[in-house]
Amino acid sequence: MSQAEHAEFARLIAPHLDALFRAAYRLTGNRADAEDLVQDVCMRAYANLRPLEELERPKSWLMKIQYRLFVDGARRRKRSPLRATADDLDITCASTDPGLEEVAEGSLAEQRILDAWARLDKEQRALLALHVEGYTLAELQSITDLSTDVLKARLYRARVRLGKLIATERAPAPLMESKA
Amino acid sequence: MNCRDSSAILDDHALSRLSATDRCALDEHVTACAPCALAWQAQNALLALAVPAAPSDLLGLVLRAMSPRPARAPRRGRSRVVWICALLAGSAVLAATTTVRLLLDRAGGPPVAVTSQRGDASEHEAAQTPPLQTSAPTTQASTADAPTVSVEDVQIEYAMMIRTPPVYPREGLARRLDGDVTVSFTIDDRGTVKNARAVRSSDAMFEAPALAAISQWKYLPRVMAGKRVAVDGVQTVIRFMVEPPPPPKAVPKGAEARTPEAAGPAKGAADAPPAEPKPVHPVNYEIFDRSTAIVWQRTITDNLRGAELELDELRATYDLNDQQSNEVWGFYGYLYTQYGDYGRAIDAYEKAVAFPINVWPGQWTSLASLYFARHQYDRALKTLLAYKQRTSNRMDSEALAMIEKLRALGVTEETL
Repeated sequence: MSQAEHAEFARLIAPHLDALFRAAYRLTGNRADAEDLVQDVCMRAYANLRPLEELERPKSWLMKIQYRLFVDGARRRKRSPLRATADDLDITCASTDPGLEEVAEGSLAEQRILDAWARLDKEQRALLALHVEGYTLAELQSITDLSTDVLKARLYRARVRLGKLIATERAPAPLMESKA
Repeated sequence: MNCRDSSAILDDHALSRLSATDRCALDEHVTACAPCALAWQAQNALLALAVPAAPSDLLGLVLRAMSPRPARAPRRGRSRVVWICALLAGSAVLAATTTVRLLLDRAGGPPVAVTSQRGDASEHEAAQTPPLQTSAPTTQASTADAPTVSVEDVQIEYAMMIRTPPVYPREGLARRLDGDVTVSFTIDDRGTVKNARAVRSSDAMFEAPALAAISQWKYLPRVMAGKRVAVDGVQTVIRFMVEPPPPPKAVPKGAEARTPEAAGPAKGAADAPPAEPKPVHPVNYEIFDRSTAIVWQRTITDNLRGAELELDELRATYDLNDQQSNEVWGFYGYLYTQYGDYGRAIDAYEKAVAFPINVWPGQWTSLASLYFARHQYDRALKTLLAYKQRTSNRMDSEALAMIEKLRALGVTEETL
């Protein structure tokens, strides 16, 4: 990357980093993974620097990359014969990560929510995370490429499932339980 | 108020905008409806979760992570080793011929484009190839209407990733001897070369350096039925050649600007014709090799995402020549197969074999095997026939075996 490109990219990406990080944190549940995810997104974005310059709403486009990286990354790994059982392991492990404890501050209720959150399916988590970050249905639609009806149905199902998980969550989730 | 309304309020972030009456109605519904109660609990729980502020140096972190490793200036005044990988597909085993050419390049000698450090520069003017499109592969998974795949049938051929150049033996240099060594070895399931031995050599003095080099080579191992497996009996011919430096060629000005010495910022490029497309970065084999070494390392340790990102970065940052592009798309094909994303694997292999230079005949076999696994037998056969044509009827044993399998299924050249 030349100096000029570096500066140009920094200028374009800087306004969106906070939003990317917030969403990434919600997705991954801890600081380190969130930072990694944001870096991944930036690498993709850099590979498409020109489109980024031309886009009217770069934030939505960046969020789309992030959503895809998170959900597709998980999906692909799930299908891979090599990584089939490792899916979600990182995320579930994250529930014992100091980054989360830092946030939970010993609050049992919060820990329970986080544990339930970690057990949620990645796509459901991604939808809820973006939605709770304040994205409208129209924005979510352009990020996920889902139709309004499908989106609404999935959001509803994800909420109900999360609600159930929170209600039933007692002890911290065992490591591999989220496989289902 | 019903479930649909309650959900719409959630979806539209509309709670705060509700009238008092609507709010009452909502409360009433949620108290009576268990799923909606759960949904609202979930929503409130999520809103209650604290999200820390982004680290203050996040931008710096991102930019640092993205900076490509600096390109080292080519050393001058020393002998150069030029690589030529002309690959032959034998009937029994895949035989790779590697020619090592030692150019006695003295200080002040004609500049040799870095592009020729590997790859046949005489047949293929890498510097003339148009820049590869720099966009990353789309993240859209091509899952829609993908045929079912029997993983058992997927066989992905090994591909060379790291080739350490052999050292030309000192004694030979005095006599300016050319020579070659045929080496047979095993590629184990981690892509490491094992049991390398010289099968034939023109002069015993070449054997030790050939074996020493080859023992350090790394491959992407063969994948069968989703598992990486070892392959025995792989053969490579390493050719040693001593050549005087090539006579200075009349290099057109535009092309000259692409050599590393002149491609540097502005100087020398001033009088280049304005129509000349600017390369993203000149091809640099040191970077290419270092990058593929990273890809190999990450693939072997199952860090497939990391490997893919490294390839994306390589492709986005450098103007790759045909041979490198062919290799890179082959690596993508391998990675996507490991992901189980066969649709994208096929796309990648199709891109790889479309280049005029195919570094690995195995790419054809891998592509055919993916079609075969998706029960697209016609396409599998067409791929194999194209392979046959490209290598003038010489195919590896895997490809021949697949043609037989297809014949057993009633798919032959005649039925196409």
